[in-house]
Amino acid sequence: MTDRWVAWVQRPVTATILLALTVLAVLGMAPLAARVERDDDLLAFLPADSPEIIGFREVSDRFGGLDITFVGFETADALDPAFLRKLGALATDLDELEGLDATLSLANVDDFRQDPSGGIVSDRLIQPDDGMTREARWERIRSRPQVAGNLVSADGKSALLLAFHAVGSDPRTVAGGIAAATAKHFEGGSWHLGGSPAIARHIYETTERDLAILSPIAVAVILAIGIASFRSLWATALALGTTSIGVLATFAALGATGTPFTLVLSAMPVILFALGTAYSVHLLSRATSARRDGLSTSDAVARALRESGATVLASGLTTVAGLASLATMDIAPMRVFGLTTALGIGVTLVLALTLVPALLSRFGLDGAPPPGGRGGPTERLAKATIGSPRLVVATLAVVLAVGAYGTTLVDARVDVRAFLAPGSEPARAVQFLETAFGGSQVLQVEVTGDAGEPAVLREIRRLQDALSAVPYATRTDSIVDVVPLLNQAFADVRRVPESREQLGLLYGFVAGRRAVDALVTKDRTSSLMHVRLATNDPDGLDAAVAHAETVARPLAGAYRVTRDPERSRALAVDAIAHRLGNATAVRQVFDEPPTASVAVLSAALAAYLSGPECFVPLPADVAAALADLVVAEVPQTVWGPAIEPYGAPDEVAMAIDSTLPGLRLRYDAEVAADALLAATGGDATQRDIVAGLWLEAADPVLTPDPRGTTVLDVRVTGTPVLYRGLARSVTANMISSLASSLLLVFILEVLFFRSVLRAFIATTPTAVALVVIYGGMGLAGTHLDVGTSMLGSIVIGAGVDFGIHLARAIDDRGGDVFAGVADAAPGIWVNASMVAAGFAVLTLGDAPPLFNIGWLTTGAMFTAALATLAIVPFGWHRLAASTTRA
Amino acid sequence: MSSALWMATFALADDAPTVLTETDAAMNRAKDLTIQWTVADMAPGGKAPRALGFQVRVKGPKSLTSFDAPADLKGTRVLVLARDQMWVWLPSYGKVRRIASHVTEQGFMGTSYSHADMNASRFGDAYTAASMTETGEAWVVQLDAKPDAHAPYPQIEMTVAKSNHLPTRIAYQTAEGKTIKVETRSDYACQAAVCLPGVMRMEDLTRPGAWTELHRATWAADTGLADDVFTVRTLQMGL
Repeated sequence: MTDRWVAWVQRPVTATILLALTVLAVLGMAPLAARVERDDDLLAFLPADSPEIIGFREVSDRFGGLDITFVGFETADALDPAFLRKLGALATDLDELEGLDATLSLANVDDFRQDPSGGIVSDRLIQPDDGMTREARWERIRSRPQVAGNLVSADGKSALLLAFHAVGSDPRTVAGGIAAATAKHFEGGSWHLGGSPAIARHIYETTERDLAILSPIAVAVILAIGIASFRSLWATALALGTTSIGVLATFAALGATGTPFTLVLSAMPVILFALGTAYSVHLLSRATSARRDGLSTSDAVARALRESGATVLASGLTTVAGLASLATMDIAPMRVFGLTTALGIGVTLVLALTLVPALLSRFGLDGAPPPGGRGGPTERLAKATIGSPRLVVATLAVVLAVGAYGTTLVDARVDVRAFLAPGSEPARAVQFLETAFGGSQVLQVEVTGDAGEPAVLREIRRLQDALSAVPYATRTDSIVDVVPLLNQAFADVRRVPESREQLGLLYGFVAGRRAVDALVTKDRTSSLMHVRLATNDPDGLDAAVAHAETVARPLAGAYRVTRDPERSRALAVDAIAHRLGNATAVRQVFDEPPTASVAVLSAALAAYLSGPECFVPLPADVAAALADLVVAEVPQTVWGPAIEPYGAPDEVAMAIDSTLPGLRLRYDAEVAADALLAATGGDATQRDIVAGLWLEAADPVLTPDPRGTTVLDVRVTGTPVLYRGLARSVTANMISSLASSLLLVFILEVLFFRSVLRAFIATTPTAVALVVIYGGMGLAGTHLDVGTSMLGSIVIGAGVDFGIHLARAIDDRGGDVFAGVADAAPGIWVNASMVAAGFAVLTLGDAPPLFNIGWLTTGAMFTAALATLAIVPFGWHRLAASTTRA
Repeated sequence: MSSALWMATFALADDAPTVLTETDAAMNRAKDLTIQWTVADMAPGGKAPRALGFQVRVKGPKSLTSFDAPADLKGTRVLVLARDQMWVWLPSYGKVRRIASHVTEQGFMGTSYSHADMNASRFGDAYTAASMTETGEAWVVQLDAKPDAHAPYPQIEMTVAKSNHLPTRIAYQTAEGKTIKVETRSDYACQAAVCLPGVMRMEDLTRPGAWTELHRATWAADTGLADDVFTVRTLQMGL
């Protein structure tokens, strides 16, 4: 078979045919490769059936996307008109940015407030030309909890613009558009882009930029090592050229199948160059050795093919199988990575066994064999290991023990900080957002249930209060922050409305507003709470998620809406005590409630009767006199005749009846709020909220009832939950892929060597290299992530190649270990050096993920080479000795 | 004057300012109008459009709008007496609230129409006609915002049918000429000299997939609506 193969390959016409076919294939593949599109969806790295991803996608669909870019500004004064003008111009520009749903900032936040001339004003909260003093603006902002600390920092020197991405938009493109618009309006200013889309954009762009710069350098380094090893540009160019065609084939396959190019695939060309060149390198190493021994090119190539052709084939197929085993992973981009890289290796392998020998035979082979054969350090290493079996075993035991200990320290984490180079813009943005706005990580808690029922909203507020105790939580936002403000606009009291009808009306007026849509669905079957976290530390995020789940879970269940004065009061007391502290003082005020003075009530009624909202407006003096009488409970029969000149008494009475009860409640609540603030020493900005809570103490509540029709469910989601899911998925996938790869490799080696023991010895260096590398990762504190989880397959692919070549070379020399080492070691070292050098170049960039893969793979290649050259000779020698003894 | 004679007059317009003036005149020919609209509003990524329904009575700058759908808003009435002055009857609260609104670019009840779009009846008040092109059926007039007119859009490209001098397509544009919203008006019907579109559709190009369609159900022109229809008393007590 081999002889026929050699004969066929060395026919002159074969070289011509193979060259023509290769050129045609390249021409055919190029247009397909050009079709490949990018996919930067981070969610693709989670299995589609993971509960985290399902939850995140569902919530994202329901609430209009959870991708939010934070644009933070450092300025001398965020309330300065000139700054607000620029912010407004930016918001206007961003409104027109495709893929961006809405923006929220100081420049465009809507507000309702009392109109001194009656009614309310609907306007921007503040405007550059509103004529207000800075103090007045600041006072207004402080009274709006959804703005203070959210859109402007506590010291007024930082502002934040929230940019809500539309569902289905490309986060990276939109974040790029936001960056460009911000740069245009704030040229020379200090601003930061934060949030998941901005961080993803940075990671992708840094990685792409690094790869664009470093890939050619890596190829040049590999080329230089090849030339230095073989002293032949032609031979090295052949090795690299066939690998390039393998890379092209993978892109063509992606283009032909419409499979997008993901971040994981960015490293694929370098990996292919590193692994794929090995096959030609081994052949060239053997052929140049044969040339040195005085053979003609044709004979040298024939000998190289006969000696190592089958080994190259076996080694290549084993690597292909190892990579293809990634298809068992449930992370789609990793599957694609495994299969396409296997395809690329397969193409390279075929070309190494056909085109390379054909062209060498046809056009000649110059150069020399790489150094490292007989008498070199490798042979001395083999001699040392064979001569000191106890030392080998002891060393191996120590290495494995330390490595195994290190592997126990490896944890799968998605640590955003690890993706950001220190001092990089996103790293500074993360720091800025943490310092000025309480962080950029947001946890979401979805409550599924009737958000059109006021009693449900009160339970949501109770949960929201509990969530404020989540570790690292700096602020919480929910629909229960918005609804009371709307109620205050329409009914003067900042509270959850009493009735479903009132709540429905409020929802109706704010339908379609992004700030509301992010908190409650249009059909009001679901609401979302946002918990901002001041940490990016994986442990902190995990703790926050766990706490939120513990706090939220008990709310799930069936309820009915009941009147339960005790429970209503307890809820109100708890809510007020949460805001003001001192629950005992709060209860005391509830036990002895104060009431509004008659004078205050009369003045308020008079203002209404003479104001623009009264359909029978009275002159101010008449209204004041009438209000005094009405509040003193003087009957209509007394004041009616006097009022007739100004309006029909029955209509005036109707106007009074529609207003006075509400006024009485409102002013009693405000007096109670004053008493509560005085008793607890609470912040005066809480007055309206406390007054509203006071009024809610008489409202219906939810009572647990298994047969109840109000059913609530709770789900914690958001990027911290996704990170946790991704970490779990990476761990599970890595374990399964490593196990299946090693098993597959072992089975193939058993078939190749026709011996379980030999297969075990040949596989052991790879296993040792894996333990050393993952142990090193654990000891160095490098987390296992999507990138580093690929390491196992790379190590297996290259390590197996070394083991098979060395073992086969020893066998070919009739069991002469040192002769086998002399034959195989040069190729192993050249290949290890080329791979290591290629990956070492990646450590020179700014992208931390590439840095990690770079140094780990560099270490892995040398570890695998060293382990192979120490263990296989030792193992083969012991095996031969025991066979002889037997 | 018959409709045919009006149309004959329209066809004589030959410059942009004249087309704008006559379009404004054609859009405001009624002394009063009573229209029942049904509305379909689609949000980006929405599965089905949201339904609204309201009746609007218009007399000059004044209008009274009564909502009958969705259920949340049923019975709600909105009285507008000036561009930034409106009163709302809140049935579930049993009270009238006066709202002085200075924010006209907000979506009207969450639709793709802003309050400014809904109230735009005389483009000549805020825009000047800068240029015009002509096809066999229509004039395409480029409008530029007047300085200090607080126009909601820097530019508008309005397509006006020669047949009735009424707009069929209005492209709302940024200062750079980028179209951000497109409104189409079709199925015009006329009562005497007053013509009204049967369907008005607004697409928000900045939010792909967002659109709002108003379908005229019934309408009547010049029914002699009394001035006291447009008062706080009527708002609270009903008609």
